Amino acid sequence: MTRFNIAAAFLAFSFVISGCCEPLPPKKPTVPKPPVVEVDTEPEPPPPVDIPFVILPADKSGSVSFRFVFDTGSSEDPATMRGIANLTATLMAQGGTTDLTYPELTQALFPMAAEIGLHVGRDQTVFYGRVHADMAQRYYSLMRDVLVNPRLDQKGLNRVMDKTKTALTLSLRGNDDEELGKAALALKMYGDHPYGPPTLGTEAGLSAITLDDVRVHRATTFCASRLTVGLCGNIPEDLEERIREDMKDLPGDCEERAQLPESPEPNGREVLLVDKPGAESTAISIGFPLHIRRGDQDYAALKLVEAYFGQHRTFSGKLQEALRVQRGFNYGNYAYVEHFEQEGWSRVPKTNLGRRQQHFSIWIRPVGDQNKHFVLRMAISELDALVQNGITQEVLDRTRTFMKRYYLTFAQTEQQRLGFAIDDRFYGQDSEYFETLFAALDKLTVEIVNTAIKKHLTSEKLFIAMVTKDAEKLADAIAADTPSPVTYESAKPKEVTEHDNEIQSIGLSIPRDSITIIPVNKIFE
Amino acid sequence: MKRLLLLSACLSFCLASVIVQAQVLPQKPQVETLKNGLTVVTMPWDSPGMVSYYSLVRTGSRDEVDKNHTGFAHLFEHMMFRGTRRFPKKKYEAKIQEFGADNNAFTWLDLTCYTITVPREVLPEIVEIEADRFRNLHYSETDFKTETGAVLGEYNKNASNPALIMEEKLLETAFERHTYGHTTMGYIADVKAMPGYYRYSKKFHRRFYTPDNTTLIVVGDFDRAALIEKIEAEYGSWKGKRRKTRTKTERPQKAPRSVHVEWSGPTAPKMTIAYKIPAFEPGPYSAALEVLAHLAFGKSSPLYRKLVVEDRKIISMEASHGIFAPLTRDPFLFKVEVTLSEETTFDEIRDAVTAAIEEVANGTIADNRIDAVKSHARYYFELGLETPNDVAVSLAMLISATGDPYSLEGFAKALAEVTPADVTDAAKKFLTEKRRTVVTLSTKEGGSK
Repeated sequence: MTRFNIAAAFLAFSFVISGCCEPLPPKKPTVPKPPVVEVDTEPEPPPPVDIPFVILPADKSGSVSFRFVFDTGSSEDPATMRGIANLTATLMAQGGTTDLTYPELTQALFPMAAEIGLHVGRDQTVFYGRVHADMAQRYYSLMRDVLVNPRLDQKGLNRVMDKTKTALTLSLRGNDDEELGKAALALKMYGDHPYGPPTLGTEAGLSAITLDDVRVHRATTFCASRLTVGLCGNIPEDLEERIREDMKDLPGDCEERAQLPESPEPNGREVLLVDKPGAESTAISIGFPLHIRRGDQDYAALKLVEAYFGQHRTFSGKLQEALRVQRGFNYGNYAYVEHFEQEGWSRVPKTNLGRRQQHFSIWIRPVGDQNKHFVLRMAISELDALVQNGITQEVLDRTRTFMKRYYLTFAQTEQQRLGFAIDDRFYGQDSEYFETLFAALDKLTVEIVNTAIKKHLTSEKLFIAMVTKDAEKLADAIAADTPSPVTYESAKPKEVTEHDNEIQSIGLSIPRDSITIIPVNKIFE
Repeated sequence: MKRLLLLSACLSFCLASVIVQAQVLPQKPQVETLKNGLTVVTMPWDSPGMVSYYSLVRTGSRDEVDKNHTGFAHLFEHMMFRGTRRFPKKKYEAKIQEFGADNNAFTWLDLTCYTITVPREVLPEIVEIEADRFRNLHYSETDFKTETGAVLGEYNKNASNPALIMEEKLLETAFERHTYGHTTMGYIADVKAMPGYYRYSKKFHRRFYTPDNTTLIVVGDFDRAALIEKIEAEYGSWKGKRRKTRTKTERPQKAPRSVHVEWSGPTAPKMTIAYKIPAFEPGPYSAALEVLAHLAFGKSSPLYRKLVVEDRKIISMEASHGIFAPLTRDPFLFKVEVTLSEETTFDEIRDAVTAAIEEVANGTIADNRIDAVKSHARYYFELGLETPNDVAVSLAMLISATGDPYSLEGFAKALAEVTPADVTDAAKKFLTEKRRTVVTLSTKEGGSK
């Protein structure tokens, strides 16, 4: 029995609930429409935009998945209003529509077990949801109004602003050192570049944003010419046509977005220490700009290096082997050759985080205070060994086999498949991601991979961020290359202790003036 | 507890899943019990080429009855990845990598679950390698001590979030005798002492990693007859009987309890308001509590609307979808978790939550609101069962609580039949002041804001 039939059978079962979905509340014309926003656009309405659709039908499915992806994000935040893209999208998704207040919208979604999902990135913003096939049209009506007729009122903005400021100034600074470490790396790596401040914004930026600013931002960035629509599952016949018609009511043709400035290159090894008194462990992130994206010739080679060196949440990565499996320093150690944004537990990469510029990064999960200097040395040393020695034929063969099986687990859900397909479009790829990647992997040789490593990766020019207590002391120790011997609970094999003896005294060549310290309550001001 | 957050996902999923599972799955789970007591639960699923292979051990932090050994079930979960004589750690990882396996595990109050998803062609080899590690786990004292470092690292990564310390304080305040009084992660002092417990770890393995305490759950695209034959061949001669855990029964709570935690760094004020509820069973009160959580505290509830949307007194409030845990073997807690705005007092939120419960207890719920919750649960479940993993997790959580892979239907029926009177009764009986424990947390005076 297919899942759709199962669902149908269930619906016919005696467990039927009368009036499973309440009727939508009546329209409330009394709610004033937002004032017309005066923006710098042509006086004549622009011609209709031909919105691209990515459609993956699955007739057996019992559900329909939606992804409305706008090619805009925090990289378009004006320097004086950092956080406005996130605030605008959040107010659209969680602020109600011109017909429904936010609680009414929530009540309409609730019986369907549906939500207006939202992710705001640097260059893409996604509104998404998945519903039972029977509810597809009904759900879409609500999603349509979120996109086309958002309420955008002061009351909603006040609430969303409270939530955002709390997330930035209290939760990010004080409730999650790993996320703080990654955000600190972005700030160190990109500085004033649009990829620098958190997507959440800065304290000053958020405080400067008014409702009119949000309305203008929505009208000039969340428009039809920036939209890709993704549908997957048991899609009703007329849905695509309906969406095409409705999306004509989006703001029309946005201006082209500004070119990004060049990603800043590190001057040797540069360090940002976030001084957090009371931190019992230290989160470490390391990175540098990488000028390779999906579709580029060396992408597959670097992706293979990622899988070998630090595949997210596996034990097979080289970093994980050295730091956790052999030495038990911490919980996890991973590396990425494109921007990766993930909670700590999921193994599947998120999609539609497309970026116009990319970076390489290493994520060292919190290590004990006594080992932080040693682990920093060791992570850099492992990266250096990779750059110097490259990989072997055995590694190539083993890693390629792994990827061609393991990556199949990344596309098990409708949302995942849709997300990857939309990413293909963002990166200008004509063929499906995994098919393209696997074909490219088959053509790799050791020489190709090692040439790509030498060309694109470095251990000499790095941005480093650490969230730690006693930051001054650590800065002095790093600058002075103070030896950082390490002790273990148990005896280690000779090869480990010998290697440790070398690592503990490695000179990192980081002068004191390349190390910046910022108190935790000052970061993202 | 490699996936602490997954826990919420699992629970939320299962809360909903139990509602209609018997009607929605393509067929009842097929169950086979080997002579040694090993249970095998299988379920075909439309996932071409993919299969999930879960090994559920009905042992979790509930079984940590020995003094100063909190967190041990979780530590042992880590040790299960340290290999055997036949497949030492490196060889085991090489195999897992070769198979392209999504290989992980999680531990919670009543269970430890090993989760593998692989292409179907390698399933026979997965059966072999899993049977080998369950039967022949072998690690040195050095390996043991090294792995305790990873567990400490896991504690440290979680400890920068106030949720861990709040949970520690909540459980130790609410439970005076039962092992639910400590978290699955364990106390930091016990985690730091773990390197000295190598011998104890061997004993732990013998006590709990036995065929009669283990259930294999296989979901996806596979040949069942071949699978069962392979499982019998690989696990059939596995011997051992689970040692009974002598947990202490909690005495009835006679008065409300509370505890405050000071946080050294920046944080929004947070509070958890918890009530003692009975162990999960597929009956009316569990169904009524599930409905009640949505009705009184969900995003569509009047309280949420007032406190979050209208008055902006709080930033968030959650009381369902894995935040409370009715799927436990013994009596546990119904929890309402709140993040407050800085100027809001804990007392006013505690009073507002109490008033919302009283409103339910006074019997003023409209039928259509209960219908909306039932509808929500039904669709949530259907949408949640998308991949073989989803189904396997759902089955694992339910079996861990009840021991019965077929117990879904009773609960589905109970939920379908929940009446406003049931919900009222549950509120009156369980969500009372004397069953309440409140934990509050705010930035330490003089701490960085």
